[in-house]
Amino acid sequence: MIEALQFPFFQHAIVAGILVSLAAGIIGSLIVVNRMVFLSGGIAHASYGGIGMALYFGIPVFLGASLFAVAAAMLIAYLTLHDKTRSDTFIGLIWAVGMAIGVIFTDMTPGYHTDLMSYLFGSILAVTDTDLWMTTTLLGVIVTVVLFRYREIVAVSYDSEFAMLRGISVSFYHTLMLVLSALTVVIAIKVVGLILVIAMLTIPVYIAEKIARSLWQMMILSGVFCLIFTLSGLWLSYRYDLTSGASIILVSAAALILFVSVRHLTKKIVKQ
Amino acid sequence: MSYAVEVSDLTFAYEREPILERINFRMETSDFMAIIGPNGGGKSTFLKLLVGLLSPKQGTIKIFGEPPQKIRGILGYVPQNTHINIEFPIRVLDVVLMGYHEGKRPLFGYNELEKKRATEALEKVGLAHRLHAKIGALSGGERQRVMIARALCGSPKLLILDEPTSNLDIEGQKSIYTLLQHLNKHIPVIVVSHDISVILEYANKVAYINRRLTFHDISDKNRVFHTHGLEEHFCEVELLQMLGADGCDRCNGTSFQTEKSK
Repeated sequence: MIEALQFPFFQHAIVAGILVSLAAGIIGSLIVVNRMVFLSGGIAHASYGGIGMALYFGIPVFLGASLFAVAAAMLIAYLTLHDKTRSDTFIGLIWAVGMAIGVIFTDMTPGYHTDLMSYLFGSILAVTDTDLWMTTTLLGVIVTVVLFRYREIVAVSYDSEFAMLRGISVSFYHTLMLVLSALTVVIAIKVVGLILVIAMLTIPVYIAEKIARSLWQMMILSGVFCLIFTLSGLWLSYRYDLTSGASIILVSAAALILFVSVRHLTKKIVKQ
Repeated sequence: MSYAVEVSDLTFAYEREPILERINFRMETSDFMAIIGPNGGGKSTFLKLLVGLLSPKQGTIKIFGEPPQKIRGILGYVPQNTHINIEFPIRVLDVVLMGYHEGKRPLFGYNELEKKRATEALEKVGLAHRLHAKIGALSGGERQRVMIARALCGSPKLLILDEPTSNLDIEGQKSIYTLLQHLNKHIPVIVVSHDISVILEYANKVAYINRRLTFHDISDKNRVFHTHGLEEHFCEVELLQMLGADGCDRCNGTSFQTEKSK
């Protein structure tokens, strides 16, 4: 892989991998502790609507996907806050409708020949300078918000009812976390694609959750694990000419299986 | 006379059908009040109204003469723990410090005084030695004690607990109620509970809520059960256990209409 580092596209891929891993570690932790995995899945798939519309109207795909994903996140937040009993139905609807909009707009785009698979399964080797700047900006927003509102986010995530009693707006923070998830999903699409993004947001976090003693530790550990899996997957995809997104996810899954097995065995040995 | 809690003609509905109807309730500053009643009878809703998480459709609630929304800072509240993720990566001390949130500046951590007080609150519930433990490593009873310590932060003038002993065995329940009885020497306590047989040993007043509210004379346990048909919610064996080995002195447990015999 060392020789590959001389190529600008590979350098971009590594920088993108680092930035996206950090964002995925922070936001993935919030998604998991708030049990919002299905909500984030809905947002990720709905963002395809934004990709299709961006291609049709000729605006940057990153911008179109961001706007659409944020709108989907706010809609999901509103619907789930107002009728919790029907939240799975709403998420399923937004998931499917978003994708359908994306497909229809892509169909209507004249002379469109871009590889759609790159949005569904990622294309980290095709990351541009603009993508990197956008990703850096969004990561900056995520870190700033989490840093300045860490205590409120912990309070709402741990016990929303008590947080409400202490004067914290639970609906605001619920919406904020979903919007941040939407932005993270959009920047992760380049790396693993919108279908695989949920695994990137949850597998490293699941491992970190078992080790960390606080939410910030969990965020950092998740980011580090995510980075290791991303770089390992990237190396595998380069070495064996595989799809990078799928390689990253399979490396993550293998690490998860290894972690769970070792943990299980260790517990058994300690019990004996 | 000034009351810790004074509720007048309270009615509340989530939709059309009222959950609570024309509730009148008074509680003195020395009271240990148990609230009992069937599931769906409105007990938790009543507590949420008392702490200001919900607003009445009709009627008034006064806590030390003020509406609850105005004095949230002096309310110690322990919500039902059913929604809490025990895998959440957080230390005991950090959970307790949440009780100090109000008016905090962003970014900066809790100050030393708050940490000292949080530690004192944990001492009160007998958990000072688990300060840095991960919350998930604690037993169910210990976790409930942590929630009580969190509610004690900010020196509350009223302690309100929603089923603090759910999923605990009898020993765990007694340990929590003994702690609450001790705290009741300084502050009034309201507890919603399903563990009727245990709570009746500690509370000095009992209110039964099933859309309407009625008070009970705690000195006559049999009346507590019979007046509101509580026997319908338990089987005969459970009732005999609740009322003691001698059973009910009115019917000796034999005339209870049981769920099993229906």
